[in-house]
Amino acid sequence: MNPDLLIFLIFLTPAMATLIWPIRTIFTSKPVLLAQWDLSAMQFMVSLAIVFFAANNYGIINHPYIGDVLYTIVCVFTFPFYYIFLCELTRHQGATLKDRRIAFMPPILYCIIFVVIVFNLGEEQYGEYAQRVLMRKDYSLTQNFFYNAMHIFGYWGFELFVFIQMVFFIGLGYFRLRRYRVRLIEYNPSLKSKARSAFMVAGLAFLSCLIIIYVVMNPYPETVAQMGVLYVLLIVFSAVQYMMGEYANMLDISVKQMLMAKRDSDDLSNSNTEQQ
Amino acid sequence: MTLLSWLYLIPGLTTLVWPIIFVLFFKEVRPVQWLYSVAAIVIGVAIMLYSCLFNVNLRGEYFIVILYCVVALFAPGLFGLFINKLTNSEGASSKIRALFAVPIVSSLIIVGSAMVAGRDTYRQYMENVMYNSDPSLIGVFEYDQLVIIGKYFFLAVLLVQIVWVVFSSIRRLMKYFVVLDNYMAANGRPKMENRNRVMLIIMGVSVLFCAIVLVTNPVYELENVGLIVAVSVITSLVSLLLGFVVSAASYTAEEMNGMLDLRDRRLGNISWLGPREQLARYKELSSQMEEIVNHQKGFLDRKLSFDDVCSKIGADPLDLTEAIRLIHGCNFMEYVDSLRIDRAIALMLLQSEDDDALMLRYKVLHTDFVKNIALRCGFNNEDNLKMVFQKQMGQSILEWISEGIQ
Repeated sequence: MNPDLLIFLIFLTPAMATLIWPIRTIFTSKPVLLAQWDLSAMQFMVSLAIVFFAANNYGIINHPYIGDVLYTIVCVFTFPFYYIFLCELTRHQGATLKDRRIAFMPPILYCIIFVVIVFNLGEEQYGEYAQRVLMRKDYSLTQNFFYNAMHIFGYWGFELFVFIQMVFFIGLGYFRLRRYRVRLIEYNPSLKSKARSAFMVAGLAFLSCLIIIYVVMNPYPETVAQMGVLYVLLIVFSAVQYMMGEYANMLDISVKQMLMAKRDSDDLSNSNTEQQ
Repeated sequence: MTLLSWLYLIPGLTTLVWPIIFVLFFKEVRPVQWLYSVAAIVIGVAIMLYSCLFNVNLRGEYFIVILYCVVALFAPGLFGLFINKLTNSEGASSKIRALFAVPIVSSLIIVGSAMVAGRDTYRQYMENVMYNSDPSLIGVFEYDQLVIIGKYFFLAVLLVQIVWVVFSSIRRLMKYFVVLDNYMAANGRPKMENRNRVMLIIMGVSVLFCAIVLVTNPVYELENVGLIVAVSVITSLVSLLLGFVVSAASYTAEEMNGMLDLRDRRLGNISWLGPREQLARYKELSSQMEEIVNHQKGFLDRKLSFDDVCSKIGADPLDLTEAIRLIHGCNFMEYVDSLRIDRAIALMLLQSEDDDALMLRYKVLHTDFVKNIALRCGFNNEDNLKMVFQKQMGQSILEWISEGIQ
């Protein structure tokens, strides 16, 4: 078997495993909360990103730039969904316009700029850029405006952009979950053990980021041992993704629902009093 | 051919316009709008991937073909989910969601067969069989397998899904219009105009038409460019109009329930149904309540509460209240008390067979006779029985016994 295809198949395992939780949620949850849809969307993005990353790196996509474009678009939209999931879970008004703008405006703008530059370069020039600048570290090409823009936006810009998103959304997520935990315990003190799950979600998101950073930094295994490490890490990653989904499932009471349940019970007791 | 690929990009991109508007400019995005966005993005991506197949450099690209097949198979289901959310107060049930098994299993079969065939074989198959219709490869097992699974199986699953989603959507929308009209009438607002309904139905049919044309009529020659331009324009317009309708359809079934007053809101699904169905549901709830309270002698339990009965039946408290009011003409406690009073009367009549009226009067006045009866009938105490008896029979126990003597 082609070794590249073998590595692609290895990458496919965690990509498929990441989908287990969303599929389980769609088939078994009754009903599926908005927050759970958002987490599912995020996990679909993660799964697609792994597939595109592998397909791009190991020659499954045989095109100068389509693989890069797909991978970039999917990657920059992953963390916004994580943020929207946390907003839906932890705030009674869900994700506000401001939240959505914070989450989605930068990746949309980034993608537009990126795609315009790539299309401007065209297939031949992009291929040249990839060969010379990315592979052989020959920076003489970057004297040209579009090659330079490509290198800044497509390479450094991408790394920086995703890293900032990662730190920002996981940090913000941690604080949101901390506030949510307080509300959960206020709502029902017996949910204290459940409230601990909130922190597990942030912790697992952080852990999966570390694994992905490692995998992205070391994409080409050269020895069997390195490949083994890569494979184990990807298996851990998919287990982490599944656990994250499970913890999110345990947090099945969003703040919105807590408030609605409280209002409904107040309404009901009022109407019962009136009846009596 | 590259020109054709660009033409296909237009409807793909216009499909993305509304999701972006929702996300970046709408103050409150409703779940139905989120679902529409997801469906529109998936449909847009599917159209764009399809367009890639006509690009000279991506012609028959293994990965793009597989990706297109997978994305396209999920598009109708997501669109159906959006219509479900719009028209059903509970959103898509887990039964409806289980239909996602179809695209999941079909994708696995298609991806599996493509991977078994390998990239080179697949590319040859695309080039020779799909683009050039070369008959020489037909009869070779590998290519036949790809033709059957990658083409006919894919098309069959996709078309069945599209037809099912469009027809079930039309059926659901018709039902939704009725509820919308009821709601508008109840709130003194103008009903939806017929031309808007016709527009919605035409749009549904146009989506079906465009999808069938796009999927079954791949264009490899410029001679069909007119058709593709027409389909691109129609798809773009439909997707834009659909976005308008979604943002204008500000009342989803769920929200209509939410906007009604407390009683109606808590009645939830029942208020959705037609009069016959509503009555049948109320009767069912009432008979379930009677089974627990009357036939299983629940009324004898002094701790019996309305909430317990609701949770045992799994009914909404106000649904059950409404059902009892409709069927029995009273509230829950009045119904339970009437059963208890019936039992108390039966016990007193039984006692009257052994004792004469005078003895009964003596017992009522000077012994724990009433207290015992009260406790045996599920009342908390003697006073409670006396009060309820007075209220229901219009006379006290003593008066009732005296009347019996006369």
